[in-house]
Amino acid sequence: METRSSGVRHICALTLLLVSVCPLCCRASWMWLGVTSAGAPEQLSCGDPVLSARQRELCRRKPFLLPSVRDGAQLAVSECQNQFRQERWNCSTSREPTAVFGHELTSGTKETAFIYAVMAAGLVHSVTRSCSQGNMTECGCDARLRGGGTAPEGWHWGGCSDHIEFGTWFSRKFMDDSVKNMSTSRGGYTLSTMNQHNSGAGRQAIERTMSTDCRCHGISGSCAVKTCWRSMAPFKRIGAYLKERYEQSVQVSDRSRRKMRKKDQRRPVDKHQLIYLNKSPNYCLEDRRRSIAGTRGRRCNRTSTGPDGCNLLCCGRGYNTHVVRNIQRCECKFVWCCYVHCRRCESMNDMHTCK
Amino acid sequence: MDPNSICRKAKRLAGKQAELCQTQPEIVSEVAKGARLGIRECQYQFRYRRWNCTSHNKYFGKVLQQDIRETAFVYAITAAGVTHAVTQACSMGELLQCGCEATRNKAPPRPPSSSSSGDGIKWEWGGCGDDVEFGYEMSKKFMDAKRRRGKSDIRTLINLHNNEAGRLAVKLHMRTECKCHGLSGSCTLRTCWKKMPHFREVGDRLLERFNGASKVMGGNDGKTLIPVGQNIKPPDKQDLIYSDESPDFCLANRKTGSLGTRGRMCNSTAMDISGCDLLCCERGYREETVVIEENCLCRFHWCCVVQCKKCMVRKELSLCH
Repeated sequence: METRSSGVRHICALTLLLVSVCPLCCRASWMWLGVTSAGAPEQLSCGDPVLSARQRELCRRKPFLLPSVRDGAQLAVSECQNQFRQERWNCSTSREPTAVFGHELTSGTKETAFIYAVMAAGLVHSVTRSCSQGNMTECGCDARLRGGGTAPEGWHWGGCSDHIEFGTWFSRKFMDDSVKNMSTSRGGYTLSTMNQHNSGAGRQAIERTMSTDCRCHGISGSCAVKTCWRSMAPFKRIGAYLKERYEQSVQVSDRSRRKMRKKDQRRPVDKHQLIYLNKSPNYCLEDRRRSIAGTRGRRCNRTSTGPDGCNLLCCGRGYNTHVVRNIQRCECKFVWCCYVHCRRCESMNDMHTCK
Repeated sequence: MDPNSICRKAKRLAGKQAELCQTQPEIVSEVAKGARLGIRECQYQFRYRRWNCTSHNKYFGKVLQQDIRETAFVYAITAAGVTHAVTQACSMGELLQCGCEATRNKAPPRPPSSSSSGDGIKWEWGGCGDDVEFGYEMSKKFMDAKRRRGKSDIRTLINLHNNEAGRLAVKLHMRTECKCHGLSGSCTLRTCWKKMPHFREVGDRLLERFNGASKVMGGNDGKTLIPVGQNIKPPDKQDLIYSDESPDFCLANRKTGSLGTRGRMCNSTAMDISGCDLLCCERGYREETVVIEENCLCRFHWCCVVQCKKCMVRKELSLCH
């Protein structure tokens, strides 16, 4: 396992050397950190070639944040695959550092928007979690929300509120390029401003989904006195929220393209909306050039009418029916004392996959 | 597909088909009607797919020569159509050789719906049930004429299987209709009869089978068909089977009989194969506004004519490039 990952690193360094003059599309992305398996954590270093020069600089100033970066990337990738497991594009990743999500990072589609948003949110989430757990000296719980609250209302701030400001700041510094020019006076977006907007929307998602949790004290557990704290939503909920935003994302015009329709111009875009430039391809057929895996062989649900139904997922190509053997534990009984005894039930079930 | 052309072809084949042509031409005309019904249903079911079963050109035959999924469906729906039409003609009394279903020897019927008013209801067969057995036999006689002694190449086996699947889609899904008699329309006495399903239902069922069609190849003994792939469920009698992959119906190709999808009407909001994305094969589409004359504001005048006004309706169509 170690030799394999070091071999990968050699190939990775070589690739980067060879493509160092290439434009944005060929540059490795830090998101690759989310794809590698758990492996050996001590191999992570600030000099890792997948990070850009600016990111390496930031990393050297705050090296304790690198494990959180990796955790955040892994969290984001797994949530992306969870949210899209029933769609034609299922957020599949490859082990190449230059094409983590295939060509999705540079295609400017809805999927690019979602990837950037969820990655930014993942960073904020993991850094803030790390802060709240007390792993870092630079940040901790939110000190403003402590001891406040009004006694007549019966509750006061306490516990450890998640301090998302630090995480948000770090995520913005880490992901956004130094190009601060977000002005849309010319009425268009470029790829990098679009990515910045979507990352911002992802960070906002964390703020919008924060909730106030309370715990009751008082005589015999009554809610005479409550201690409340602000906490982030579990990342699954943030993923679902971002998926909703993805479904309602707005197409904006490309700054480089001169001809824009009158009605699309100057339509203000909210900060929390996701935007995209190009229409997505249909991810039905395999396309090696664009690293689309296609839907052949994907498991589909014959009776569903949603996107995971065989009708929609297989794009009209039809499905194969396989017979699979399911061995399950059934008729479990509790035996005194103290174990559970189950029988093994075998059943032959139908499984459908796209042609 | 009129009776004369069928019978002309049958002369070459001889046997039972030719005999029927000479002795019972009215059955042959029902068979022709059934085939036309099948093709019409095929065109309805495939109206939003890349190949839309258009039979009004010479490329239809080219498609049918290949052993693809679409051919399987055409054979099945034609066999079902013949069964349906012949049985219907029997029930209408248009054929002398058959009539309503003989119900004297049949077992008492099962209640069609959950009859909460349990026993005490007297059942009996009556009315005019569809004699689907006759239709089944006729369809078999006409369409399975290729079954000769020893001639069991893969194509023939597949075609026979698909024909049978089409016929079974009609025969095994009969519904029981009942009528209540008794005092003032109460259900103390019921008369039931069996009817064929609507042909649209048969078409839907066969389309579902088309989606799940299995690819097969010939076994070593030349008589069996085995499914291609790992752990594939063996197809049963009602499944459709095929042996070749469909050609690309996106572009017109004289060799494969594909007409392409240029100019086809697509649905711009759908995500499935009828959507403009997939139907137009990513070539894009254009919006056109068409003004159509339609009948509207129809009124019934006593007696007995329906008069309609003509309205001009604007429709927005999306057509593939």
